[in-house]
Amino acid sequence: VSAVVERGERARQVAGSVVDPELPMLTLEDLGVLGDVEVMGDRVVVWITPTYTGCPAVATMRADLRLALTAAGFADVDVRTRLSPPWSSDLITERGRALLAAHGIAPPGRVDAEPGRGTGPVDVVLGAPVRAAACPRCGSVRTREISRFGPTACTSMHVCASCAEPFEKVKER
Amino acid sequence: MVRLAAFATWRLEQFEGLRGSVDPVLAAVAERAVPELRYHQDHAVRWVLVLAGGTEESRRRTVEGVRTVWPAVCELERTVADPALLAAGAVPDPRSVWRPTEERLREVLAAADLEAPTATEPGSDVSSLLGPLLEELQAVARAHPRGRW
Repeated sequence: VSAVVERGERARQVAGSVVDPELPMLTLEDLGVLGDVEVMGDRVVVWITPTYTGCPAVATMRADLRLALTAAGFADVDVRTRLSPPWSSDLITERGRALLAAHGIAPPGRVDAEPGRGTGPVDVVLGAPVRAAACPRCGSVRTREISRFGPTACTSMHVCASCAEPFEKVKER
Repeated sequence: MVRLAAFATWRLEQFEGLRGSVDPVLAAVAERAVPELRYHQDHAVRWVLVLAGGTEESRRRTVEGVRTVWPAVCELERTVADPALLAAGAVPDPRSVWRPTEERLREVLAAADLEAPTATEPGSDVSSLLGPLLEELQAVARAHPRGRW
């Protein structure tokens, strides 16, 4: 029995150490993408909750999980998708948030704390961006969104008025 | 941008409806897509407002955009759902998708001080452009039957 438990823990550990292809400072565990890891004999079933619809990184995540687990001696690896409940930026762990900031990427705020989400009609009020992102380099909140769409689907672009550095921010969703 | 604002608004309503689908996969996909569509809609709507209130040239183009896109937007009203899927509760009623879409788009146009063109007569569903369009879309499939080469 202990060997089985050990194998299960090993599989979880290996799967949990695979990193995100776009944000390689984060493991899939930090990102909140990794779900259950089930071991049945030689077979491992890994459940993932994909982030954004059509995110090209998801295919790489699958391939990387398969590769890592195969290298760790699991012959039969099955990566499955769980769509519900959907992924949310709230699932990014505290460790993940700290790592993002340490790498110059502003972590997302809490989704439920975001004003004006979901219920009201179209937000047609122009003005200040929905919320100020704190600059991950100097901590200033004198920042401005320069594009809602960054280099990846999950990030937006900002610039800091205090230290003049541009930076990415992982969007709330 | 006008086209994206119109399409994203309609699509968002459609997916909000799909969240209640009896099909768990459709419902889950819709649930996940809604915040993304909301981003698209918000992005496009903000730009429409900026461009409509911008320079003379940007306003001229935005007005032209509304004029060009509006007949196609009106066609969305005539979207037909598969009766079997509708009866089963797998897809939302197109009418319940269209009504809030139109309402929201009119809100946006009003906020941008733009006029909605008067409803156009529904034209023919196909025009002479369809032939060359289909030909191009099918060229690869015809040249390589079953996707083998």
